[in-house]
Amino acid sequence: MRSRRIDPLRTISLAFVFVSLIFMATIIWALVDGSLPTLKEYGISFFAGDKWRPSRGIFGALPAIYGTLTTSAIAIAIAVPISLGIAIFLAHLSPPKIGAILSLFVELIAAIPSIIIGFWGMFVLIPLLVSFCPFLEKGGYTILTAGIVLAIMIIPIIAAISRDSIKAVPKSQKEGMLALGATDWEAITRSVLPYARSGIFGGVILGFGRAIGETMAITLVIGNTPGIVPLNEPGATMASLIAGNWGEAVSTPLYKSALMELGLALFLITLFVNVVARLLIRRMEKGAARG
Amino acid sequence: MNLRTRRAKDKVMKSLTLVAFLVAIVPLFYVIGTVISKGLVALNWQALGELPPLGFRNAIIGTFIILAVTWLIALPVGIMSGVYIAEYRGIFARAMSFLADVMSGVPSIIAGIVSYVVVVATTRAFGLAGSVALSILMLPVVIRSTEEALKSVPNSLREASTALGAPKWRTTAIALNTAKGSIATGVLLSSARVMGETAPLIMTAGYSQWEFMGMDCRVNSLAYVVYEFLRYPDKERIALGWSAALILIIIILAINIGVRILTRRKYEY
Repeated sequence: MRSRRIDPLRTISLAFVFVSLIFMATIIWALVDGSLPTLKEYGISFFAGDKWRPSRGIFGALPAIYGTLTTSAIAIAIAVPISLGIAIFLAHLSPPKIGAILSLFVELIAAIPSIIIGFWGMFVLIPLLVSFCPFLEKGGYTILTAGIVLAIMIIPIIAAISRDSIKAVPKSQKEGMLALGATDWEAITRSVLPYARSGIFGGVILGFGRAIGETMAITLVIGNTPGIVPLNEPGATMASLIAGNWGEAVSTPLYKSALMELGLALFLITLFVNVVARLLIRRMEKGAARG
Repeated sequence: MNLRTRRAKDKVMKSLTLVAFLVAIVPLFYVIGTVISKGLVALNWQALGELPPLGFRNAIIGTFIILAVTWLIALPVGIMSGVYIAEYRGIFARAMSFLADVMSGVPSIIAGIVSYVVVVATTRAFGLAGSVALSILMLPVVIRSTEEALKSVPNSLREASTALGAPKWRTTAIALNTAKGSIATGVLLSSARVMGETAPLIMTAGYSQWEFMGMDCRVNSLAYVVYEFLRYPDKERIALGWSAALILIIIILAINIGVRILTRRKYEY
């Protein structure tokens, strides 16, 4: 016999779920509402324009999109091999007793506020890079510098998720290879890594999503002058353009709206990237629970 | 490949993974070292006890006020949503859980824009807008922490409660009580993250050199003082900015390390 008692908790908690949904829906509504002036004025040509000259009312998003993609690509190119090395080291090679502390060191990097990393980049890393790298003759505030700073910030994310996926691989997978006479390294690269690939891939994409949206650290080291330029010159990303110019844009409706439309585009891109990453990571976690 | 080259390759590649680890943690110690050495220069009672430009007392207070209001918004909504997702499983609950995961990747600058449009543009309540922006960032983490914590409570506990005739809400209250430490951990870690956020505050709470005057005014914060002071072409101001950075990083690292030592919990991304 089914109980006919009503469940007040279900009703109340469901109400709060709808409040959460409203929070999330508000994000999209607010971004669209804020972008309406430029959406009406420029339409789709906003995303085709290759010039960003706010003083003359010319708003083209391409330079910022170019900056976002190049900085993120540089960051991924640097971070992926290093993160994979760290993940293999932490999951299979480091002494188990201090493994937790070593993992903590890597994860603490992700805890440092973006603004502090940015000023460290400005005061310490840029002078260092300029004195070592001959191709930074035009100064250290470049797309390349921003990519390096980004790499530092996303390594902990990619490394931690890759480590978890590698740890989730059944032990028999490696032991089988070792029993056949393979070395440690051969067993890891040929039987453990392929098994963990979807989780690792998810971690890389999640790191890419973070790189796209990272704001303060980039704003401080990229020079924040939007342009489609070589990597050793100053540029700007979508996020850095919004943060760096908000103060001067806030009194000009069209300028402000252009920054918000950049935000809308940034949001849609990160949404897509995060959906893909989370699907891959959830599949890895399910596999770990089963295996 | 003969055995010797294979073994040599094994050794070389394994050492390279150690090198990768060392390369990655150099910035951690380099950044912390920089903040300590530059931050100690101007760190004294005047820095902690005076208003800008002599110190940043209002920023320390402001950081915690903004965080407290963020808790008031994000904790009830997040915990109750997490309760629904964990206790009433189904396709809708699963979809919400996934949505929360995706939303935890929303760039912080987006939260600033949203809060500007919704709060600042309509009411000009700058301080409140700062808390709303941070609660957009915190909410998904609270939802997922509560969900995971409740799911790790053994079902036998719920069965025992139900067998004794307790209604569903009381059973859930018992499960929540068991899970509270784990939820608190998630809340603390995400508080540490949002305390360091600067981008959303540019559009909202902003900078103030005055005493805290209410959530409808500008509210100063440590993160914003770092951003404001370190861009000044003035040595004393810059030194003070680094001191604010030192205080901020001490709070954030203390929370992270403390939580890790007490609970062995992983960092959530």
